[in-house]
Amino acid sequence: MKNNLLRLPQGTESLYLEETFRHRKILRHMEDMSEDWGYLPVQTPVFDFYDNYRQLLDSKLEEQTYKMIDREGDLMMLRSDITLFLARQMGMILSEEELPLRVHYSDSILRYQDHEDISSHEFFQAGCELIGKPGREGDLEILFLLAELLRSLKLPESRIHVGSTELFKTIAGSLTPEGGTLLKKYLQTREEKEIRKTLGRVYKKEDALELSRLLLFIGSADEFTAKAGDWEKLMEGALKPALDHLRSISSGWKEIDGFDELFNIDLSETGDQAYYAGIVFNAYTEGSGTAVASGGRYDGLLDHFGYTGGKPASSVGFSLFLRKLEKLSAIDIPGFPETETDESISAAQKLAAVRKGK
Amino acid sequence: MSSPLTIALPKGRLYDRVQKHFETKGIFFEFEKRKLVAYDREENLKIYLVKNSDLPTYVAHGIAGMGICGEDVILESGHHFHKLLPFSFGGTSLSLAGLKDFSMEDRGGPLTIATSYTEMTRRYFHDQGIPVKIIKLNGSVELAPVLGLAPCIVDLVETGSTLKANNLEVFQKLHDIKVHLIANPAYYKIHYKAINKFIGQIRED
Repeated sequence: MKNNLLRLPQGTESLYLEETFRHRKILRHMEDMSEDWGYLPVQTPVFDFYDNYRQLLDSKLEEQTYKMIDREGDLMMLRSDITLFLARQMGMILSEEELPLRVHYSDSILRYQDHEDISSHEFFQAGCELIGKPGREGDLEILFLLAELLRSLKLPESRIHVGSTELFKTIAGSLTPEGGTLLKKYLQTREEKEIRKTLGRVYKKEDALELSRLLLFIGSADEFTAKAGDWEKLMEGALKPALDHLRSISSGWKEIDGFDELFNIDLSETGDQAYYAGIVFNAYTEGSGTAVASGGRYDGLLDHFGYTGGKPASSVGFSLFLRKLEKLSAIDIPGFPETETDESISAAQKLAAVRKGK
Repeated sequence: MSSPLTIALPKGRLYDRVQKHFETKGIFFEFEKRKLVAYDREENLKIYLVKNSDLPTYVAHGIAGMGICGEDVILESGHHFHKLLPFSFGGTSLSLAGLKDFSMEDRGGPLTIATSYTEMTRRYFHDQGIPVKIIKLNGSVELAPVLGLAPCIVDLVETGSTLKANNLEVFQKLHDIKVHLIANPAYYKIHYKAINKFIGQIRED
């Protein structure tokens, strides 16, 4: 028999003393800030019926999800993505009178991880969702809240890269489904020549060249605005609504002191979850090999889980991978209790001392 | 002054080619004896010298933001990177080879292949719908058919002279293998301006 006492299952982690203390304090800081912005706490279940989510899981998340069979023979899944579990919870109970609704969450997630994939560390998600507020103001509120959170955590150089699933879907829509998958793959690897070649299957050579430039674009609000005017003429104006929306939200963050340096328009961000529809974004921090936060807008997710109100329950939100941030944050956490205590003090004396301290 | 970009280079033959290429583009560096970290003369780059097969691990974990390596190493690692610039040097191909009198059709059962590239081999043949039994070897793969360990091998073939010397021949090419400048995606997003400038500098004419 293998000595399982010494083995740790992949996808789990334990925190000890000072690390736990820091984790909890930073989490509390995030929760306090979310509540200051009017977001209320919610808690999702640890497992649920797999069938409810099957069609919403992309292949990567599907592979990473732990599944089990309950006593009745139903296939269950352990919580691998809080947004999905939250959408199901909200879809069942929300009525349109309650919208817009602001919620925040923080919980552990369970995902299978390859033994080499230690850089992911996605065991704990904390985030915010703004449900039932479509359009510019909803998008900006969530982006600003994320930006403020990152700033308050005193991280090294950080950037939030905002893209649009609509742009990508409109461009890839003319390709075959296989062509669309290839385009996404090459966009993730940023292989300019292959992107152009894939687009060249259906678009004229000069359009394919310009569309590949568009998809690979990263830049500030001003740099984006300078290009967007030309891009909106492509594909007989089909890209204009998505470009206009990005122009509008980027003008929103430009007005805020210090935000123009924090945000970029990045049209290679297309969202890694199948349920996104609208803006998508990832936050990156110097020192982390993967994104430290990700999010976006999803429109039909609550309807999928039974929401039937007349008002659209279009939602936007983000997840922070808090464990990655904790290591990089320069935020000062004072007050870690002394580990050396005077054991000669009786329990009654201790009680008296603590009461006096209050 | 902004901090230097970090890049991992592989030890061995490819290192010499990269160093020579960088020199033609005005980037000069050398490693002191036994040292594995160096800076270029301008201190725009911090360079790590690592084992070829470990290079993707360093880049995937963000220890080195960029790296230069062959597609074989990238694919075998299973990690995802930005492949920002292909190079014309160092190219090779991953090929299926075996003894001259071997016939794929007469094999009767799964194809047994000895290789160091287990992931790429399995993926390639499974995509073709061909069942394969793979024997992992760490080097001198050409010996396997000669000594009777496996009738076929999958290996990198540059000139084919080693195969010829062992009475082996190439049956089919699985992949063209190019050398690329790769980057950790999160690192690229933070440093895209400096990296794009660097790409402009090292791009082949």
